Amino acid sequence: MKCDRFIEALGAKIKILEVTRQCEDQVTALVEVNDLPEAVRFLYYDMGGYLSTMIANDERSINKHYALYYALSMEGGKMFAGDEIAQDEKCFVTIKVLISPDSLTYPSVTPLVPACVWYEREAYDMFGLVAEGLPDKRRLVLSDDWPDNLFPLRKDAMDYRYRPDMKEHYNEPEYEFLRPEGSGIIDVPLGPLHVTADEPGHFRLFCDGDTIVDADYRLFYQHRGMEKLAENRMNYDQMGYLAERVCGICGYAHAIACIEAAEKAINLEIPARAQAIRIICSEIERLHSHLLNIGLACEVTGNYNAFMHIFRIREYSMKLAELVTGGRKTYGNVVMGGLRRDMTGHEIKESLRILKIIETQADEVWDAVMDDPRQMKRWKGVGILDKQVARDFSAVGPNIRGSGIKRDTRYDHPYDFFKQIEFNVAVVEGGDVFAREMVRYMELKSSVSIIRQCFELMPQTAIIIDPTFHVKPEDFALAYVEAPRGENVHWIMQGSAQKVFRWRCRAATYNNWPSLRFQFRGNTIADAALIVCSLDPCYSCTERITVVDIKSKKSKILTNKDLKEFSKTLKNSPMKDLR
Amino acid sequence: MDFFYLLLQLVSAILVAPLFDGISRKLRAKFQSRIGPSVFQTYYDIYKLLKRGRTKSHSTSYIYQISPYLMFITAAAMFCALPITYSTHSVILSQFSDIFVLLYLGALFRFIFIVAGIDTANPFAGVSASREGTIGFYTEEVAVICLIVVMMGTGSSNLPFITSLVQEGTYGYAIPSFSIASTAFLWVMYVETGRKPYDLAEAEQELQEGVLGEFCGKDFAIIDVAILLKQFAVLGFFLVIFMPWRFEHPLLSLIVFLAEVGFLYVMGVFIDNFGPRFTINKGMKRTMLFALSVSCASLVLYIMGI
Amino acid sequence: MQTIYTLFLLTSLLSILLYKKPLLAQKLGFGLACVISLYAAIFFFSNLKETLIWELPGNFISAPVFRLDSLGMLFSFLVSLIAFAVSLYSFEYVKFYEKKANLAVFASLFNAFILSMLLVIASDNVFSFMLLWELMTLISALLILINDGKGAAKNVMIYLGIAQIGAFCLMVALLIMASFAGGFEFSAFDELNIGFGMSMTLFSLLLIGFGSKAGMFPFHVWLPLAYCQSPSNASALMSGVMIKVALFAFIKFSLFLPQFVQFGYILLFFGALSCVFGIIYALISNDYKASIAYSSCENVGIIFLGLGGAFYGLGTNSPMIALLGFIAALFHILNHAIFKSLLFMLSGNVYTATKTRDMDALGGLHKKMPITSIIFFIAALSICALPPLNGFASEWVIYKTMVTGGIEEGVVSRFFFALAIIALSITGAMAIMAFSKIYGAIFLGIARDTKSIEEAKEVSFMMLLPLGLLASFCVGIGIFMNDVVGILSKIVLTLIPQTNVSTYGFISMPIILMVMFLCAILPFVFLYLLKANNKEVRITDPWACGFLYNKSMQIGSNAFTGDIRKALSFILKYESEIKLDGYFSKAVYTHKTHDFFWDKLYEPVIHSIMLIADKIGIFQNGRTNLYAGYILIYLCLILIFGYYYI
Repeated sequence: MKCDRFIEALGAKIKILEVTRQCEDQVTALVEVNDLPEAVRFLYYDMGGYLSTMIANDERSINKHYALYYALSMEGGKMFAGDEIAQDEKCFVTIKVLISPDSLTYPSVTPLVPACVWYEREAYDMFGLVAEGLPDKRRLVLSDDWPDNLFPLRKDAMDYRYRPDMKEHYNEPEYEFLRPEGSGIIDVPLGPLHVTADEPGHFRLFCDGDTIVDADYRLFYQHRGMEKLAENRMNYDQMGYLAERVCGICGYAHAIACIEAAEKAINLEIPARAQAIRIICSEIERLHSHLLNIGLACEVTGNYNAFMHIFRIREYSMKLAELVTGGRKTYGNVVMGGLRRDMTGHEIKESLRILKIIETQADEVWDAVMDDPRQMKRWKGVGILDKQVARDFSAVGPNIRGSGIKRDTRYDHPYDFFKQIEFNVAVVEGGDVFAREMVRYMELKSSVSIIRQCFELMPQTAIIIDPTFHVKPEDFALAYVEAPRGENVHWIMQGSAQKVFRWRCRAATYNNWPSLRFQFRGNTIADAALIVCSLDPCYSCTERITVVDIKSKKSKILTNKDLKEFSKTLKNSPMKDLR
Repeated sequence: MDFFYLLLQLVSAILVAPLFDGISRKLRAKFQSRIGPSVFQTYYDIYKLLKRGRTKSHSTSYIYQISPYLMFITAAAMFCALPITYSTHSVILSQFSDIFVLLYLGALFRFIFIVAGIDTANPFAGVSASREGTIGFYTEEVAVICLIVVMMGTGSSNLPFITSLVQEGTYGYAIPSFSIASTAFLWVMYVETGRKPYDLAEAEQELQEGVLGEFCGKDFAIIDVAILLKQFAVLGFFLVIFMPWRFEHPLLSLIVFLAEVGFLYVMGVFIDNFGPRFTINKGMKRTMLFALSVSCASLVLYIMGI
Repeated sequence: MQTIYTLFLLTSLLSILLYKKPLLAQKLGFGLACVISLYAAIFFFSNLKETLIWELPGNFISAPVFRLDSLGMLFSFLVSLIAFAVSLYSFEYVKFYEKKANLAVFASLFNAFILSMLLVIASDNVFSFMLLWELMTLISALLILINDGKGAAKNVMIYLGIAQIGAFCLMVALLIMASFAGGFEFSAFDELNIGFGMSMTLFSLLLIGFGSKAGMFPFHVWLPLAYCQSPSNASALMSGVMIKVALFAFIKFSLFLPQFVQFGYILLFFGALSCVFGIIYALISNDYKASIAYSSCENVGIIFLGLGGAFYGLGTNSPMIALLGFIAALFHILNHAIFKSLLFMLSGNVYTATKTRDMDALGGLHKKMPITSIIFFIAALSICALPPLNGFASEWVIYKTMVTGGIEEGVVSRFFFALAIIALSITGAMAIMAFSKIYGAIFLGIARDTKSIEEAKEVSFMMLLPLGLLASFCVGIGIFMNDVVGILSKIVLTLIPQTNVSTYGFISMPIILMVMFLCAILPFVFLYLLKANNKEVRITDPWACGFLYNKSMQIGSNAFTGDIRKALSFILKYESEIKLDGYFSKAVYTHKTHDFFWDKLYEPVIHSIMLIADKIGIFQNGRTNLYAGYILIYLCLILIFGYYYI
């Protein structure tokens, strides 16, 4: 069976207490707490693993302990040609440790495997588990005015409706940034409200003139407590819709990752047609996401012209989504056991026509952008992610593929329909913004070809099987999807009564943030926004807005049409008849 | 009478400039496959700003309060220094219309811009102020080298005098150094207008409009007008030296001048619409070095006496 | 005239005699200095066109004659004017030094310093000149030492060392000239009959001699060291007028030589270098006093540009250029004396209020010291040569000279004049950046280090009065530019008598002002007509992207010049280094800007001198018989030389 090789090798070095198998390619090994760092390091560096996710869990109700799961994707180091595990041996190995609630401490893995840093910081924020020897012990997820000693994800910590008292923003405790030592440095804040940062996040650039000496950041402004929300309260159909709302761009990838985690845990095989359409949807998502990102990479350098034209093309991908799912975006389609909406033959024909348009026009604009030497000079050599840094921090998606590491979940761990589809993994050496955008362009092309293949191979089956199934409490499984920005990993532990015991959602960018600091260094303020952008930001396009009059506290909901109409004609002001 | 026409020159420029800005915005939108705003949008913007309330940062001092007016005064004085409605016959005004007066008024504008930026204590305004100073360092000598050729060629720094010489044809494009200088000078004047790809000091995506970001309401409206005026003044600076087109009647030459400068302004869209912004360390330096070498070539030609 | 000198001498002696009562001595010393220099200023100004001669009673080595012609009168006026303002300022200012030094000594040195400068200007033969020149240097060195901070002795030694190199060159030059003239009186120096090579040598020696004192590039290294060290009133005097005395002497002596056009080129070249390098160092310095000191180097460069034009005019017999050049140089000398001493005194205000010279710690001082701030603003505008202030007026005349010079046929002259204009324009652009930075970093925004301005408060009226006076001179001279040019041209005509002057083609500052006023009305008219929103301004934090504002987000003096340091790294040898220990530690950022000429020129010299001094130390070990041996060797050598040469 898969994975056994790694367990044996690990067993030769470290005492393994227990081995459990979740599904064909997922194995969990329980080790002693003190052996944890060495076990993870051995799998990570010696056996060629990448850290996919790390899950902290409050299992006191099950075995009177807290548990940590370090999930490693065994695929080879990929630092040089041939440094890769054979295709049929790639799998996930999870190292599990139990931590006693009396000590609440465990040895930190970060000094040995830097990729663990954010996970271990989060484990403290959420569970109060202290990593001994963690070099960076600042708060990560919770806001600075969150009360100390309140760890929200502990089962007994608090009611999910609890809201601690908020502090006025000028009373907020100051976050301690890693300000470089030395004189004459200016702190340039970038965000949470910045023209080019679509998401709220605070980047602190330490600059000498225009040159960035070092950078630090404070994120998680949009932490919505979704994991807490899902636990023990939602059934699996609701989970899919919640997971979609994790992100405004790659929501579909989250939805299928989440649902597939549940499906994997009960070994549910869904119909082939549903698999194909799931892949079509996730590739459409990749199309519009990459078009958006290439456009933005032009826009943040000031090239509006290219941006506007790329957005014009992106509109076709929204049209495509409309044909497949019925909505401008791909949301609301995934349920346990399959899909909600099927496609007609006419829709498939129309989709193929639109694909052709996207392909030709994207080529035209891309060529025009490539022909602009000024644009190339802004992209090349900027925000370099060193190959070793990328390896050490387990970066994902175009970010790592731009640094010349061939890491793609669709290729390493093919899921669903991907086993039948041919495509090339886009890998570009260089590690700069240009390399990442080049990866995106190549993927955009391959997405078009994947969608086409799916339409051609479209199996004639049902799109959903009868979702009558029973989950076994305390079973867990990983699911993974290559979202536009990289690997999304969801981990679900089943609870009783068809509910989730613990849902861990790791979005792609989570693995890309920690190495950003090293991408910033040495570049200029002008490039800072570009570098952030090249990791791929995301925002949700809202269809409706709410107008609120602050004085009278009245509000009115406007439709998209109303708003457009008012913006054009300036007649019938929506402010008139507020209720 | 001279002063009446001077006032007319200034007021008409202020009134017309937003229109040309509107036209270039519309044109830019067409290039980007958008509908774009109305051609009168810049007027609406300024009017709207005038009606808005204001905020200011607690760090600011008197410099912040007077700087919009100072910027307006210097930009307006720069525009007045262009001999459009007056000529060498006007004894009083030709003592004012001088190349160095114009250059140093531009420097005064820059000084106020920088000081106002530091005054707000805003990090972006500070960086923007720093960039403005650095741009000045790059452009000033190129502009001056081009002007040396003209000044030494005509033997004077007096603008009406130079204009009349060039228009009469006693001095002009027949001289190689003059024609080469004109290209470099147009280039550097375009940089001075602060439009893309040289809008480093106001870069929206990086610095969120930099110094201007801290101004609002009527202060910002005045700065808007001042910047438009400065852009017209620097483009006009090129026109009065290298493309003078003056008529006997001051009104006629004013109309022709405004049309000319507006045309140049709108044509700037062909440069500023395409491609990204430069960065201060790489793009700016490289292109200005090129402009510098062009201007030096013209200077060498002059020195050789060709 | 004698009365003035005598009075200064008496005040100086009186103050030192009151050694035991420093406070009284300070009141008497500076008070009297103030009155006398005011009287002197009026006296010299009213006798501007006269030539006065005065002989010292008694008989020293040679009968010391003192003589003031028009040019000397002008410089004496300048010295007394600035001395008046500075002594008025010092009256209160020196109280800050009560603990550090004996104020009686300070007052005495101060008066002696003014006296020595006045006498240097007036001296009329080689011996008295050299004697007074060295005296001036020594007294100024003692003034620097009043503020005995860290490294004071070393800085003073560098100052004295460079001054001695200069004095040596001067001595040689003057002796050669005297031997050609056949007398040590300067009146005999006229119309020296020497060839091209010799006069070039003499000119170079004079340039080194006076240039080193004036802070010309590459002898500028002592400027920041000495001026930062000394009390602000002393730096105001040194930078404001001592430099001008050196320039006066330079003009005076080089006019004795037969004129060649190459003199002009040399001056233009070194002037251009001096102003560009001066301003670069002024720009990147984070110490405001050092910045202001470096800008002296820049302004001396600008003055040399004017003088270069003048000497070119003399060399080619084109009196118009010579006239314009001299007017430009003298005009800028006048203006520089005013705004530079003003700036140094203002920096004294800032230092006494904040006790720091690091601009990265200052900020927001305007709210505490509004009047100082506004005067500083005027001074900064005028040193940046912005219209309609005096700096612009004189730079305009220099530009005019350069343009007039560049019209001439001849590749070489065109090249040098073009070079000069380019240098001047670069200087202009960087001066804007440098002084807007200095003003902004000290007075605007918020304090980067709140401790620095905690106890700051506005200085007393007595200290502000002279500053206001000089600031009004900055404005006044700017506006009445053409009248000042008229007066200066009359003085220059005594040097080169054969030409006419007219201000035709000059700009008119009042008209510029008038147009600016006209423009100033417009925005208010627009705002009124369009009924702008005049509601009260809401006060907030500075915009920090929605994050909590932090004072380290404000741009500082060092970060402000980050780009330009990078752009100029080929000259500056700017090095920076980021050290990082592992992935998660704080970075350590170090950066250093080397003064290229200090590293390449001075450091090796100083190093080798130290080495030689060490070696010489071996000979000097205190043993009597060894010294007897030295004498014996010396006698033998003398005998051998005597045998062969006599």
